[in-house]
Amino acid sequence: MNSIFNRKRFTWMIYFLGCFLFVPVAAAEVYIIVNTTIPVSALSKNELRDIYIGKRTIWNGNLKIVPVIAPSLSLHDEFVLKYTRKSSSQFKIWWLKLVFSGEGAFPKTASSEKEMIEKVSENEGAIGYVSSEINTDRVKTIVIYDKDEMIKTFEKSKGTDNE
Amino acid sequence: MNRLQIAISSFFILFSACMASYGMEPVSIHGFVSQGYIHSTGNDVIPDSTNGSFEMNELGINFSTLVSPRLRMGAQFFARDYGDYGNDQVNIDWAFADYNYKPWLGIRAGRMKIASGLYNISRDLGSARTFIMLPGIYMESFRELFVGIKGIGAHGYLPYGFSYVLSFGVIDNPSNFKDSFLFATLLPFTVKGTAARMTGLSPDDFTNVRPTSVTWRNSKNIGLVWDTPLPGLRLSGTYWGGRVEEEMVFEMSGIPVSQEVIFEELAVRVVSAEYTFSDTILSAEYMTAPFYAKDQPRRKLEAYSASLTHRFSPLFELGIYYSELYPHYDDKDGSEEREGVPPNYYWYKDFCYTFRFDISYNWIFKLEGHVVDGLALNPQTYYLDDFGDVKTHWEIYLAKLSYNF
Repeated sequence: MNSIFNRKRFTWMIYFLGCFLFVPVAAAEVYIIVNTTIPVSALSKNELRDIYIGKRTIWNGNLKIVPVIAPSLSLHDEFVLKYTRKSSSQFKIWWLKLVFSGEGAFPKTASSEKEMIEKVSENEGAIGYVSSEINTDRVKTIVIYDKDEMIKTFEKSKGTDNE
Repeated sequence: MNRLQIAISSFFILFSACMASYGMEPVSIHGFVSQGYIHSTGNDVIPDSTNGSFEMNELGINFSTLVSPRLRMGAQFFARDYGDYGNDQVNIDWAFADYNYKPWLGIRAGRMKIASGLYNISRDLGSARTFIMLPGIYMESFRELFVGIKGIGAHGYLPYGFSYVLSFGVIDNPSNFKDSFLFATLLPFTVKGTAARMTGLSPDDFTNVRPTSVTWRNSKNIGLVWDTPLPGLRLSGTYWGGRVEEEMVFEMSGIPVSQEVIFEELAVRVVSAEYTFSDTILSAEYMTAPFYAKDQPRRKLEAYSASLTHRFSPLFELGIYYSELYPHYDDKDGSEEREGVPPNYYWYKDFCYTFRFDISYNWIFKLEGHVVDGLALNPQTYYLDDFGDVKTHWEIYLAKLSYNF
């Protein structure tokens, strides 16, 4: 039978689909740093995600958000997976779509953690990530919290108190 | 590139220099270029593709800047060659000002991309997707229609993961619609068939059928995306369309005739679902495209597809999709032969497999194969003198190298 799915092609398809079973795993500590002009000391995970996928572009008070990324570092892979729920390649493609459809401007890039700290310290409204906690007169480390987890913990403690 | 485009480019470069000198945000410049090779068996996709063709390339460059924290302006120039279409003519792809009042409300004015399905907005950029040729719902042969809408729009992010885009104006393409496959090739077939039925003459009695003008009116584009509570699951619905007025001329048994064809509605509706799990993306899309001319019965194109992609490493990604496209949703086997073409022109079933290699952050190379059943909306097979001279089951092979910065 001369159709799209003859036996030979079907065998290849099954083999091809079988290749999709790989699932990579990654996890590490990531600290979020911001320029000291930014009037926040904590962000929720969702707020951080919105910033890094271009949904949120302005801090409170009309200050432009300047996200900084370091795609060449392994820390970048861990950061985007943890906070944007995207792999490194998906994150890149997401931004390519925004940039080439006119819907966003690509984040500033750094090639090392040292450069990341420099860029965050030099740009008002800048935010970035590093592998250890840093606090200087130009850069501060902020807390990232999981709002849903906090609500759950609060509800749980409330329940315990009532007992 | 015409004078207007040169003027806009020069403006951005000078504007950038001025802004930089005042310590303001400089103009960001990004671009891409890709060169493809296509080889098909049995039928041509573009002229002479059965012998292999390099007439498949795209290039674009964009300029954008933040005038203030809330106001962004930008423009992108785009050129492509796809056989007889495009021919590397540079056009404005998008050019608009975007004021972000609040995250839930941004206002745009200018020429904007059309949201259609999950991937139309980024279809020019090969690096932004796995596949070289998109599934049938993106109708490559109708690409001129999908380019942009000129007018005003709104967009924003709403609570519970919803986001929206609205645009009103006219569907617009600087490279003349009347040279497009739809208006220059496909509609003349329909007109010949309809005129023959109405007059009792043969379709061959109607010759030199061609459009002299195509005008869109009252066009709109609506898109809604929902990032569901299930992480990685995104649902989307889009609509775009409007009223089209087309002036056509033809000869009826040697007598010149002029005819206005008015499409009360020519639209594309797409619903999509995409699920991302780690490095795997699963998506499914369904499209209907209703169109009906004044005093003619309603007609509808239908297409659907499902795709699966997986990235194995930063270097390598694999993808497959299966897609079906029907120009007449109520005559999928072509038994009614409404357009004077054989039944195998009434469907297009496509199984595609792609190997994507990210050679570096900026360079991407892709290899792709298609196993195809049917000929619907494949431009080259409509130009043949003998429709019996085609292959219903055929294959397409492509390679493409892309660079973006």
